[in-house]
Amino acid sequence: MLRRGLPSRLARGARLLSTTRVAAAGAAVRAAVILQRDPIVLQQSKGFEAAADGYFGWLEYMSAEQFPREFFFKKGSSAEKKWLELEDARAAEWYFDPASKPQDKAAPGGSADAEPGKEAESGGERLIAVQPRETAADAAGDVRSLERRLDRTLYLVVKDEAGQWAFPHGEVQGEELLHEAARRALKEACGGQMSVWTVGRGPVGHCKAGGRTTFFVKGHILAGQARPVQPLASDFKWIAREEMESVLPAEYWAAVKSVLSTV
Amino acid sequence: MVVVGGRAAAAAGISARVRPGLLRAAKAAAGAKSSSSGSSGGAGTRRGANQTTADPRYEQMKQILFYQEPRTLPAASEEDVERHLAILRAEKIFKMTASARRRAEREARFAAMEAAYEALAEADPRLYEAACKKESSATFPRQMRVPTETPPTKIWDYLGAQAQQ
Repeated sequence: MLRRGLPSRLARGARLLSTTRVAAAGAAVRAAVILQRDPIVLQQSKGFEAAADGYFGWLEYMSAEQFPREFFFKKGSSAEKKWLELEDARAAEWYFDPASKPQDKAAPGGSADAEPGKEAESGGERLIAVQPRETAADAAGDVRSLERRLDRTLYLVVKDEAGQWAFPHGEVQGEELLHEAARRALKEACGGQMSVWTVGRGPVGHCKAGGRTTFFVKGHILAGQARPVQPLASDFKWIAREEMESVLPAEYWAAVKSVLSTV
Repeated sequence: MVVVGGRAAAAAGISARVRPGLLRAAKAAAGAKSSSSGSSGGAGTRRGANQTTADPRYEQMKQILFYQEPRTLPAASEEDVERHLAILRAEKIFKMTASARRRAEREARFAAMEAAYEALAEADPRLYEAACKKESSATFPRQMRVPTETPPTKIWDYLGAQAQQ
Protein backbone atom coordinates (compact mmCIF):
# COMPACT_ATOMS: atom_id res chain seq x y z
CA MET A 1 0.00 0.00 0.00
CA LEU A 2 2.36 2.77 1.17
CA ARG A 3 5.71 3.02 -0.57
CA ARG A 4 8.04 2.50 2.37
CA GLY A 5 11.24 2.94 0.34
CA LEU A 6 11.31 6.60 -0.69
CA PRO A 7 9.73 8.19 2.41
CA SER A 8 12.03 6.19 4.70
CA ARG A 9 15.03 7.45 2.74
CA LEU A 10 13.69 11.00 3.00
CA ALA A 11 13.26 10.62 6.74
CA ARG A 12 16.77 9.30 7.18
CA GLY A 13 18.06 12.22 5.12
CA ALA A 14 16.12 14.69 7.27
CA ARG A 15 17.50 13.23 10.46
CA LEU A 16 21.04 13.49 9.14
CA LEU A 17 20.62 17.23 8.47
CA SER A 18 20.34 18.53 12.05
CA THR A 19 18.69 17.87 15.39
CA THR A 20 17.61 21.49 15.85
CA ARG A 21 15.54 21.28 12.65
CA VAL A 22 13.73 18.25 14.01
CA ALA A 23 12.96 19.97 17.32
CA ALA A 24 11.63 23.08 15.57
CA ALA A 25 9.52 21.01 13.20
CA GLY A 26 8.11 18.97 16.12
CA ALA A 27 6.84 22.08 17.88
CA ALA A 28 4.65 23.07 14.91
CA VAL A 29 2.80 19.75 14.70
CA ARG A 30 -0.78 19.61 15.89
CA ALA A 31 -2.78 16.43 16.37
CA ALA A 32 -6.55 16.41 15.91
CA VAL A 33 -9.21 13.71 15.99
CA ILE A 34 -11.89 13.34 13.32
CA LEU A 35 -14.33 11.62 15.65
CA GLN A 36 -17.28 10.00 13.93
CA ARG A 37 -20.51 8.40 15.07
CA ASP A 38 -21.17 5.68 12.51
CA PRO A 39 -24.64 5.18 11.00
CA ILE A 40 -27.09 3.33 13.26
CA VAL A 41 -29.65 2.50 10.56
CA LEU A 42 -29.18 1.42 6.97
CA GLN A 43 -29.70 3.73 4.04
CA GLN A 44 -33.09 3.36 2.44
CA SER A 45 -33.24 3.33 -1.35
CA LYS A 46 -34.86 6.45 -2.73
CA GLY A 47 -36.08 7.76 -6.06
CA PHE A 48 -35.09 5.76 -9.14
CA GLU A 49 -33.42 2.99 -7.14
CA ALA A 50 -36.58 2.33 -5.10
CA ALA A 51 -38.77 2.39 -8.21
CA ALA A 52 -36.46 -0.01 -10.08
CA ASP A 53 -36.40 -2.34 -7.07
CA GLY A 54 -40.21 -2.34 -7.12
CA TYR A 55 -40.33 -3.18 -10.83
CA PHE A 56 -37.81 -6.03 -10.73
CA GLY A 57 -39.36 -7.34 -7.54
CA TRP A 58 -42.73 -7.48 -9.28
CA LEU A 59 -41.25 -9.39 -12.23
CA GLU A 60 -39.69 -11.93 -9.87
CA TYR A 61 -42.92 -12.26 -7.90
CA MET A 62 -44.99 -12.79 -11.04
CA SER A 63 -42.68 -15.48 -12.40
CA ALA A 64 -42.03 -17.29 -9.12
CA GLU A 65 -43.54 -20.66 -8.29
CA GLN A 66 -46.89 -20.81 -6.54
CA PHE A 67 -46.60 -20.60 -2.79
CA PRO A 68 -48.00 -23.80 -1.18
CA ARG A 69 -50.23 -22.07 1.31
CA GLU A 70 -51.89 -25.17 2.76
CA PHE A 71 -48.52 -26.75 3.40
CA PHE A 72 -47.04 -23.82 5.32
CA PHE A 73 -49.95 -22.22 7.14
CA LYS A 74 -52.49 -23.63 9.53
CA LYS A 75 -55.98 -22.65 8.37
CA GLY A 76 -57.08 -19.42 9.99
CA SER A 77 -53.78 -18.76 11.78
CA SER A 78 -52.46 -15.22 12.25
CA ALA A 79 -49.41 -16.02 10.11
CA GLU A 80 -51.75 -16.94 7.26
CA LYS A 81 -53.69 -13.73 7.80
CA LYS A 82 -50.52 -11.65 7.57
CA TRP A 83 -49.49 -13.45 4.41
CA LEU A 84 -52.90 -12.86 2.84
CA GLU A 85 -52.63 -9.15 3.61
CA LEU A 86 -49.30 -9.07 1.78
CA GLU A 87 -50.84 -10.95 -1.15
CA ASP A 88 -53.68 -8.44 -1.35
CA ALA A 89 -51.18 -5.60 -1.50
CA ARG A 90 -49.28 -7.45 -4.22
CA ALA A 91 -52.42 -8.04 -6.25
CA ALA A 92 -52.81 -4.29 -6.71
CA GLU A 93 -49.44 -4.02 -8.49
CA TRP A 94 -49.18 -4.12 -12.26
CA TYR A 95 -46.25 -2.76 -14.25
CA PHE A 96 -47.22 -3.77 -17.78
CA ASP A 97 -49.88 -2.20 -20.00
CA PRO A 98 -52.87 -1.40 -17.73
CA ALA A 99 -55.21 -2.74 -20.43
CA SER A 100 -53.65 -6.20 -20.06
CA LYS A 101 -54.18 -6.37 -16.29
CA PRO A 102 -56.50 -9.30 -15.44
CA GLN A 103 -59.67 -7.77 -13.96
CA ASP A 104 -60.97 -10.85 -12.15
CA LYS A 105 -58.13 -11.18 -9.66
CA ALA A 106 -59.97 -12.99 -6.85
CA ALA A 107 -58.41 -12.62 -3.40
CA PRO A 108 -56.54 -15.91 -2.76
CA GLY A 109 -58.95 -18.06 -0.74
CA GLY A 110 -60.90 -15.51 1.34
CA SER A 111 -58.78 -13.07 3.20
CA ALA A 112 -61.03 -11.68 5.93
CA ASP A 113 -62.74 -14.80 7.26
CA ALA A 114 -62.22 -16.86 10.44
CA GLU A 115 -62.58 -14.54 13.44
CA PRO A 116 -60.14 -11.70 12.83
CA GLY A 117 -59.72 -10.58 16.43
CA LYS A 118 -59.54 -13.96 18.11
CA GLU A 119 -56.17 -15.22 16.93
CA ALA A 120 -54.15 -12.22 18.14
CA GLU A 121 -55.49 -12.52 21.68
CA SER A 122 -55.51 -16.28 22.01
CA GLY A 123 -51.98 -16.70 20.62
CA GLY A 124 -50.54 -14.61 23.42
CA GLU A 125 -48.21 -12.92 20.95
CA ARG A 126 -45.86 -10.26 22.13
CA LEU A 127 -45.98 -7.46 19.65
CA ILE A 128 -42.51 -6.09 18.93
CA ALA A 129 -42.65 -2.32 18.72
CA VAL A 130 -40.51 -1.22 15.79
CA GLN A 131 -38.69 2.04 16.54
CA PRO A 132 -39.00 4.86 14.02
CA ARG A 133 -35.99 5.87 11.94
CA GLU A 134 -36.64 9.55 12.64
CA THR A 135 -36.05 10.37 16.30
CA ALA A 136 -37.04 13.18 18.65
CA ALA A 137 -33.63 14.72 18.04
CA ASP A 138 -34.43 14.89 14.31
CA ALA A 139 -37.71 16.64 14.99
CA ALA A 140 -36.09 19.12 17.37
CA GLY A 141 -33.03 19.65 15.16
CA ASP A 142 -30.77 19.11 18.18
CA VAL A 143 -27.26 19.25 16.67
CA ARG A 144 -25.63 18.21 19.95
CA SER A 145 -27.52 14.92 20.00
CA LEU A 146 -25.99 11.60 18.95
CA GLU A 147 -29.44 10.28 18.04
CA ARG A 148 -29.95 12.66 15.15
CA ARG A 149 -29.76 11.50 11.51
CA LEU A 150 -29.33 7.83 12.28
CA ASP A 151 -28.65 6.87 8.66
CA ARG A 152 -25.65 9.21 8.33
CA THR A 153 -22.10 9.47 9.70
CA LEU A 154 -21.87 12.36 12.18
CA TYR A 155 -18.62 14.15 12.98
CA LEU A 156 -17.70 16.04 16.15
CA VAL A 157 -16.69 19.68 15.75
CA VAL A 158 -15.89 22.00 18.66
CA LYS A 159 -15.66 25.76 18.97
CA ASP A 160 -12.06 26.40 20.00
CA GLU A 161 -10.48 29.32 21.88
CA ALA A 162 -10.31 31.47 18.74
CA GLY A 163 -14.05 30.99 18.22
CA GLN A 164 -13.51 28.82 15.12
CA TRP A 165 -15.27 25.53 14.54
CA ALA A 166 -12.76 22.71 14.05
CA PHE A 167 -12.06 19.11 15.03
CA PRO A 168 -10.76 18.71 18.61
CA HIS A 169 -7.02 19.38 18.46
CA GLY A 170 -3.91 19.91 20.57
CA GLU A 171 -0.14 20.26 20.28
CA VAL A 172 2.11 17.20 20.27
CA GLN A 173 4.01 17.44 23.57
CA GLY A 174 7.28 15.86 24.61
CA GLU A 175 8.02 12.39 23.31
CA GLU A 176 4.42 11.30 22.68
CA LEU A 177 3.32 9.88 19.35
CA LEU A 178 0.73 11.33 16.99
CA HIS A 179 -2.17 9.05 17.92
CA GLU A 180 -1.39 9.46 21.64
CA ALA A 181 -1.33 13.25 21.30
CA ALA A 182 -4.64 13.15 19.40
CA ARG A 183 -6.36 11.05 22.11
CA ARG A 184 -5.01 13.28 24.86
CA ALA A 185 -6.17 16.42 23.04
CA LEU A 186 -9.66 14.91 22.58
CA LYS A 187 -9.90 14.05 26.27
CA GLU A 188 -8.70 17.51 27.35
CA ALA A 189 -11.12 19.34 25.07
CA CYS A 190 -14.17 17.07 25.26
CA GLY A 191 -13.95 15.25 28.58
CA GLY A 192 -13.23 11.62 29.36
CA GLN A 193 -16.87 10.47 29.15
CA MET A 194 -16.53 8.97 25.72
CA SER A 195 -15.50 5.46 24.70
CA VAL A 196 -13.40 6.06 21.58
CA TRP A 197 -11.57 3.79 19.17
CA THR A 198 -8.82 5.58 17.22
CA VAL A 199 -7.85 3.79 14.03
CA GLY A 200 -4.15 3.10 13.60
CA ARG A 201 -1.15 5.19 14.48
CA GLY A 202 -1.05 7.59 11.55
CA PRO A 203 -2.99 10.46 10.01
CA VAL A 204 -5.83 10.27 7.49
CA GLY A 205 -5.43 13.89 6.44
CA HIS A 206 -3.63 17.12 7.19
CA CYS A 207 -4.12 20.88 7.02
CA LYS A 208 -1.32 23.44 6.68
CA ALA A 209 -2.27 26.80 8.10
CA GLY A 210 -0.02 29.66 9.19
CA GLY A 211 3.24 27.82 9.78
CA ARG A 212 1.73 24.90 11.69
CA THR A 213 0.37 21.65 10.32
CA THR A 214 -2.55 19.80 11.86
CA PHE A 215 -2.66 16.03 11.34
CA PHE A 216 -6.01 14.29 11.66
CA VAL A 217 -6.37 10.88 13.26
CA LYS A 218 -9.60 8.98 12.63
CA GLY A 219 -11.69 7.88 15.59
CA HIS A 220 -15.05 6.22 16.18
CA ILE A 221 -17.19 7.05 19.21
CA LEU A 222 -18.63 3.83 20.62
CA ALA A 223 -20.46 5.20 23.67
CA GLY A 224 -20.75 8.30 25.85
CA GLN A 225 -21.09 11.94 24.88
CA ALA A 226 -18.81 14.93 24.44
CA ARG A 227 -18.65 17.39 27.33
CA PRO A 228 -16.68 20.46 26.25
CA VAL A 229 -14.08 21.75 28.70
CA GLN A 230 -14.28 25.51 28.84
CA PRO A 231 -11.04 27.24 27.76
CA LEU A 232 -10.28 24.70 25.02
CA ALA A 233 -13.81 24.13 23.72
CA SER A 234 -16.83 26.30 24.39
CA ASP A 235 -19.39 24.39 22.33
CA PHE A 236 -19.76 21.24 20.24
CA LYS A 237 -21.86 19.82 17.42
CA TRP A 238 -22.38 16.43 15.78
CA ILE A 239 -22.93 17.15 12.10
CA ALA A 240 -22.94 15.25 8.83
CA ARG A 241 -20.61 15.97 5.90
CA GLU A 242 -23.03 18.19 3.98
CA GLU A 243 -23.56 20.38 7.05
CA MET A 244 -19.82 20.96 7.50
CA GLU A 245 -19.05 23.30 4.64
CA SER A 246 -21.02 26.18 6.12
CA VAL A 247 -19.46 25.66 9.54
CA LEU A 248 -15.72 25.15 8.89
CA PRO A 249 -13.26 27.76 7.56
CA ALA A 250 -12.71 27.47 3.80
CA GLU A 251 -9.14 26.06 3.67
CA TYR A 252 -9.87 23.68 6.57
CA TRP A 253 -12.90 22.32 4.72
CA ALA A 254 -10.84 21.93 1.52
CA ALA A 255 -8.30 19.85 3.47
CA VAL A 256 -10.79 17.50 5.12
CA LYS A 257 -13.65 17.12 2.67
CA SER A 258 -12.16 14.10 0.88
CA VAL A 259 -11.65 12.37 4.25
CA LEU A 260 -15.29 12.62 5.33
CA SER A 261 -17.86 10.02 4.34
CA THR A 262 -20.90 10.74 2.16
CA VAL A 263 -22.79 7.85 3.75
CA MET B 1 -31.78 -9.63 -14.38
CA VAL B 2 -35.05 -11.11 -15.59
CA VAL B 3 -35.27 -11.33 -19.35
CA VAL B 4 -38.91 -11.41 -20.26
CA GLY B 5 -38.80 -13.54 -23.40
CA GLY B 6 -36.43 -16.19 -22.10
CA ARG B 7 -38.17 -16.55 -18.77
CA ALA B 8 -41.63 -16.89 -20.27
CA ALA B 9 -40.45 -19.48 -22.79
CA ALA B 10 -38.71 -21.55 -20.13
CA ALA B 11 -41.69 -21.39 -17.82
CA ALA B 12 -44.09 -22.48 -20.57
CA GLY B 13 -41.77 -25.32 -21.50
CA ILE B 14 -41.77 -26.96 -18.08
CA SER B 15 -45.21 -26.00 -16.90
CA ALA B 16 -47.16 -29.14 -17.79
CA ARG B 17 -44.35 -31.67 -17.61
CA VAL B 18 -43.41 -33.73 -14.60
CA ARG B 19 -39.73 -34.52 -14.21
CA PRO B 20 -39.89 -38.35 -14.34
CA GLY B 21 -36.46 -39.23 -12.98
CA LEU B 22 -36.96 -37.18 -9.84
CA LEU B 23 -40.48 -38.51 -9.35
CA ARG B 24 -39.25 -42.10 -9.51
CA ALA B 25 -36.55 -41.37 -6.98
CA ALA B 26 -39.05 -39.70 -4.67
CA LYS B 27 -41.39 -42.70 -4.92
CA ALA B 28 -38.55 -45.07 -4.09
CA ALA B 29 -37.46 -42.92 -1.15
CA ALA B 30 -41.02 -42.64 0.12
CA GLY B 31 -41.48 -46.37 -0.21
CA ALA B 32 -38.24 -47.14 1.62
CA LYS B 33 -38.98 -44.59 4.34
CA SER B 34 -42.52 -45.84 4.91
CA SER B 35 -41.50 -49.50 5.04
CA SER B 36 -38.66 -48.82 7.48
CA SER B 37 -40.84 -46.61 9.69
CA GLY B 38 -43.58 -49.24 9.50
CA SER B 39 -41.29 -52.00 10.68
CA SER B 40 -39.75 -49.96 13.49
CA GLY B 41 -42.79 -47.82 14.42
CA GLY B 42 -45.20 -50.55 15.26
CA ALA B 43 -48.76 -51.50 14.45
CA GLY B 44 -50.23 -48.03 14.02
CA THR B 45 -48.72 -47.29 10.61
CA ARG B 46 -49.36 -50.58 8.83
CA ARG B 47 -52.80 -51.72 7.72
CA GLY B 48 -51.96 -54.76 5.62
CA ALA B 49 -49.27 -56.38 3.56
CA ASN B 50 -49.94 -54.26 0.45
CA GLN B 51 -51.30 -51.14 2.14
CA THR B 52 -48.51 -49.40 4.00
CA THR B 53 -49.82 -46.01 5.12
CA ALA B 54 -46.99 -43.62 4.44
CA ASP B 55 -46.62 -40.29 6.20
CA PRO B 56 -49.20 -38.04 4.43
CA ARG B 57 -46.66 -35.26 4.24
CA TYR B 58 -44.75 -37.13 1.55
CA GLU B 59 -47.77 -36.94 -0.73
CA GLN B 60 -48.12 -33.25 0.00
CA MET B 61 -44.47 -32.61 -0.78
CA LYS B 62 -44.67 -34.57 -4.04
CA GLN B 63 -47.70 -32.52 -5.05
CA ILE B 64 -45.88 -29.29 -4.33
CA LEU B 65 -42.64 -30.26 -6.05
CA PHE B 66 -43.89 -32.00 -9.18
CA TYR B 67 -47.54 -31.28 -9.87
CA GLN B 68 -47.80 -27.55 -9.35
CA GLU B 69 -47.78 -25.39 -12.39
CA PRO B 70 -45.31 -22.53 -11.96
CA ARG B 71 -46.60 -19.07 -12.73
CA THR B 72 -45.58 -17.44 -15.97
CA LEU B 73 -45.07 -13.79 -16.61
CA PRO B 74 -48.04 -12.08 -18.23
CA ALA B 75 -47.79 -11.59 -21.97
CA ALA B 76 -45.67 -8.52 -22.68
CA SER B 77 -46.61 -6.22 -25.55
CA GLU B 78 -43.99 -4.48 -27.66
CA GLU B 79 -44.32 -1.36 -25.55
CA ASP B 80 -43.84 -3.39 -22.38
CA VAL B 81 -40.63 -4.86 -23.78
CA GLU B 82 -39.43 -1.37 -24.78
CA ARG B 83 -40.18 -0.12 -21.28
CA HIS B 84 -38.35 -3.10 -19.79
CA LEU B 85 -35.24 -2.48 -21.89
CA ALA B 86 -35.31 1.23 -21.03
CA ILE B 87 -35.51 0.42 -17.33
CA LEU B 88 -32.63 -2.04 -17.64
CA ARG B 89 -30.52 0.59 -19.41
CA ALA B 90 -31.38 3.26 -16.86
CA GLU B 91 -30.51 0.92 -14.01
CA LYS B 92 -27.18 0.11 -15.62
CA ILE B 93 -26.36 3.81 -15.98
CA PHE B 94 -27.43 4.47 -12.39
CA LYS B 95 -25.22 1.67 -11.05
CA MET B 96 -22.26 2.77 -13.20
CA THR B 97 -22.42 6.38 -12.04
CA ALA B 98 -22.92 5.41 -8.39
CA SER B 99 -20.01 2.99 -8.52
CA ALA B 100 -17.76 5.54 -10.26
CA ARG B 101 -18.63 8.15 -7.62
CA ARG B 102 -17.83 5.74 -4.79
CA ARG B 103 -14.55 4.79 -6.43
CA ALA B 104 -13.57 8.46 -6.82
CA GLU B 105 -14.36 9.10 -3.15
CA ARG B 106 -12.30 6.08 -2.11
CA GLU B 107 -9.34 7.21 -4.18
CA ALA B 108 -9.56 10.78 -2.87
CA ARG B 109 -9.64 9.46 0.71
CA PHE B 110 -6.54 7.37 0.08
CA ALA B 111 -4.74 10.26 -1.66
CA ALA B 112 -5.46 12.48 1.36
CA MET B 113 -3.92 9.87 3.66
CA GLU B 114 -0.85 9.52 1.42
CA ALA B 115 -0.37 13.29 1.32
CA ALA B 116 -0.71 13.43 5.12
CA TYR B 117 2.01 10.80 5.56
CA GLU B 118 4.33 12.70 3.21
CA ALA B 119 3.67 15.94 5.08
CA LEU B 120 4.35 14.19 8.39
CA ALA B 121 7.67 12.83 7.09
CA GLU B 122 8.63 16.39 6.20
CA ALA B 123 7.39 17.93 9.44
CA ASP B 124 8.54 15.39 12.03
CA PRO B 125 10.46 12.22 11.06
CA ARG B 126 10.16 10.72 14.55
CA LEU B 127 6.35 10.83 14.40
CA TYR B 128 6.42 9.58 10.81
CA GLU B 129 8.50 6.53 11.69
CA ALA B 130 6.20 5.75 14.60
CA ALA B 131 3.12 6.15 12.38
CA CYS B 132 4.55 3.70 9.84
CA LYS B 133 4.87 0.93 12.43
CA LYS B 134 2.18 -1.68 12.14
CA GLU B 135 -0.14 -2.24 15.11
CA SER B 136 0.49 -5.67 16.57
CA SER B 137 -3.06 -6.74 17.47
CA ALA B 138 -5.37 -4.53 15.43
CA THR B 139 -9.01 -5.66 15.81
CA PHE B 140 -12.40 -3.98 15.60
CA PRO B 141 -13.88 -3.16 19.02
CA ARG B 142 -16.71 -5.39 20.19
CA GLN B 143 -19.00 -2.40 20.82
CA MET B 144 -18.99 -1.36 17.17
CA ARG B 145 -22.50 -2.11 15.93
CA VAL B 146 -23.70 -3.01 12.47
CA PRO B 147 -26.44 -0.69 11.16
CA THR B 148 -29.96 -2.15 11.03
CA GLU B 149 -33.23 -1.32 9.26
CA THR B 150 -34.65 0.36 12.36
CA PRO B 151 -32.85 1.60 15.48
CA PRO B 152 -32.74 -0.30 18.81
CA THR B 153 -35.03 0.67 21.69
CA LYS B 154 -32.07 2.20 23.49
CA ILE B 155 -30.47 4.07 20.64
CA TRP B 156 -27.26 5.29 22.30
CA ASP B 157 -25.32 4.31 25.41
CA TYR B 158 -24.43 7.47 27.31
CA LEU B 159 -22.22 5.64 29.82
CA GLY B 160 -23.83 6.48 33.16
CA ALA B 161 -26.31 8.69 35.01
CA GLN B 162 -25.27 11.93 33.28
CA ALA B 163 -27.27 11.04 30.19
CA GLN B 164 -28.47 13.25 27.35
CA GLN B 165 -26.59 16.48 27.85
